[in-house]
Amino acid sequence: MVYQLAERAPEDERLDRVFGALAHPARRAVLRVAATSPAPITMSELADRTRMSPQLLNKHAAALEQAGLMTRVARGRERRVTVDAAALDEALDWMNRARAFWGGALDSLDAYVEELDREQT
Amino acid sequence: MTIADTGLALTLERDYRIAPERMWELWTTAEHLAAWLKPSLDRYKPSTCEADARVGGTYRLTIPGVTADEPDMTAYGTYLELDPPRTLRFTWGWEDMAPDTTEVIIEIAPTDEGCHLTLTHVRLWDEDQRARHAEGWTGTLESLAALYG
Repeated sequence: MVYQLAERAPEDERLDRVFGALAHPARRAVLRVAATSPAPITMSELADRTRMSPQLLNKHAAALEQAGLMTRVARGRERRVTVDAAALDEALDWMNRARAFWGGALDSLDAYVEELDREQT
Repeated sequence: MTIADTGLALTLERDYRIAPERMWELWTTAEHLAAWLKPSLDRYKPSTCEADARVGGTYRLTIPGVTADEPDMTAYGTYLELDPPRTLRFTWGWEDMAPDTTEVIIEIAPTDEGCHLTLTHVRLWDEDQRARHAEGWTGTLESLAALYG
């Protein structure tokens, strides 16, 4: 029930990379546009949509790729981007466990406050 | 761009029908923390808690496993800021599992009925990142989930 942040070092390191990559607004913008695109988006479209120079986009895309959040695949003359949900899911899972713990704790606080009330009256 | 604005953190808010001073006591007294700081009041055996609620003081809270095969869990950390009855800030970790590199901020605001509590749990990485993101990690899980929603 109590959430576990990370039992194994590899998971911890991976999470650090994921959170580190997500800690930059420009990279979140890249990921948001890529993730909401119905089909794998090309790097040039992605540069257009995020109003980034190809050089800057490349830099951010490399960081996201290193964190395992997305992959760039060459198709013909274009490179297309796919988002890897698994890495993000792991980060979300971490957040969910923390949320479940604190949500439960605040429910307990509610019940405890009522208990104290009853004792007083 | 909701995600850019909110960053990565967990925020929960609740209203309670007790005065801020009382709420402060429930968060800073070992006896009270042992009684309520657990995922459920009914299912858990009594916790043990030590809390030295002053800046630099530490706390340790052991929540027994619900069943025999479930291990006890010990949360621990150090108090970083105490501004009674408004702001409480401490590090948070799970012994043997996660170092206390995360931080919890409790904010208590008075209301007509009692108080409004805001709990923020932030993940801090290393000192370097902490300095670069000194603007603060605020935000919600929903905004991250919205990325895929």
